[in-house]
Amino acid sequence: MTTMTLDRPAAPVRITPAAAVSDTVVIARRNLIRLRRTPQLLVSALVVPVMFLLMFRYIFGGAIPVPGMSYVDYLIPALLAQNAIFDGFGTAAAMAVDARDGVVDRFRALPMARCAVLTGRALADLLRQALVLAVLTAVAVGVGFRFHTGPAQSIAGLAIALLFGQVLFWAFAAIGFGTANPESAAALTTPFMLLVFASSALIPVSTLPGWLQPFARNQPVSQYVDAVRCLTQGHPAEQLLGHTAGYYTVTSLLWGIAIVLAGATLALRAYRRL
Amino acid sequence: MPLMIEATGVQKSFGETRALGGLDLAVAENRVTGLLGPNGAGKTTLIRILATLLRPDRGQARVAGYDVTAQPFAVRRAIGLAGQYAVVDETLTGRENLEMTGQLYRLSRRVARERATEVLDRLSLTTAADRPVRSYSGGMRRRLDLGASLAGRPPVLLLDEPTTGLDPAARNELWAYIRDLVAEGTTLLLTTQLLEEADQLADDIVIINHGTVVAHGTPDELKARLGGERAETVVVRPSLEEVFLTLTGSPA
Repeated sequence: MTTMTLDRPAAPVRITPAAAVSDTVVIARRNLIRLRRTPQLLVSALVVPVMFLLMFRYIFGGAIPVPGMSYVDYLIPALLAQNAIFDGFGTAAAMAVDARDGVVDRFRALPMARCAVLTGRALADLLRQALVLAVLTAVAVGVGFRFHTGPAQSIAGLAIALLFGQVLFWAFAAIGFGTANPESAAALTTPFMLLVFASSALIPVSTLPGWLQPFARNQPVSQYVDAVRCLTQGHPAEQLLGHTAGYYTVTSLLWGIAIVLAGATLALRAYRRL
Repeated sequence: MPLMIEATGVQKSFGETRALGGLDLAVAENRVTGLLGPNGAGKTTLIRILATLLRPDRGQARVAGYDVTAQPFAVRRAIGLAGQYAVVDETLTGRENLEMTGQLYRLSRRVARERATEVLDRLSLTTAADRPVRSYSGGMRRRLDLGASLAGRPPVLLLDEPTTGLDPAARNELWAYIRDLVAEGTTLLLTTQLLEEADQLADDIVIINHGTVVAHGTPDELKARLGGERAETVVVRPSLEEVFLTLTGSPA
């Protein structure tokens, strides 16, 4: 048996930005190892978006005419962006479990950057969503989707789709830590589905009832979806939607700032109270 | 001998419920103090305050010389917390769990790796080190959980019911590890429902009820004191269990 001498903690030290980054990476790695060892998690992250893609491409798609664009080109950018919502449901549930089971307590008693519990998971989510996005894009190209803009714009489109995941992370984190109960978290995240259906994601907004159109046109899901659409499809999408890629990018960023500010405030408040 | 844990007049209420009503506690360096009390007496609340997870409403608490409210970061460097709070991740191996906790204790990756090997060795987990924790027995899990709190070699350990749910053999094993740690200079505060555990491990016993200390002393002192009070009765040397039940007024 080895004997251990005790460290006398030196003078109190504050968390440096470098330490916060290093703790974020440790927490992210912990989540990513879990993903690698539990392949079901990755499969379930892919099942819903691929199912949506095939269902709307081959079952409902034929009944939805889109002026000036093929439905597959209209649909796929939306699926790339809305994946952030479906993926985030799992994040909210997992954070609720961590809060309930005292995992968070144990982290808070360590001399680590407290924010890393949140930022580490956000980083892990980003990497997982990038992987899902890559698979989804490959499947999409297989079923007839094409990028109709240059590489820079197309990549910007994919980046906006990933940004949406990071923005929503803070809303889902607030729900997860705020409820500290996976069932309550699910009850609060499910209504996010309505935001997908009452948006421009799957159908042109002009087909919705008149009273719903102003909401559907301006809510955050539509802004992100339409930004990805304009950045990957170019002129036909801009003409159909009525604004430029730049417009939708700016409105996406503004919604993003608002959601992050509100979500992070609530998530941090809930975190401190756990 | 310097005090490693020092609480003076600590009060904490949750809404109308008073969990701690001006509690005083002093734990000298390299002593094992067993914190006993019925459910709801305030044991876990006190541990959470000392671990910087809760702020006291009134009063002061210092751990390893640092104030829990004013210097929480320094306190966290000085403590290891284990017991009811499981930090180990089931899908990670024992080694990975310890390395990550070590890094969160602000060790470099290299030192965290060395430390993990050391801890695995001393807790007899070397053969299971690279297996996912989900394949561990209950006793192995508790040992790993204790190990995770040792990764930063903290001078103060706070153990909240460390052996609850373990079978007697696994419990004895864990007690042996805890005794070794104390032999090397660790200061230990442990809550327990098992009076035998307190009797076996603790140098000092603090019994709390309704958020205040109702008795404190060595196990022998407590037994002798109660035995003296009851000299006219048959019981001359009561067991620790009898001391506990008498002082907390719980039904025998």
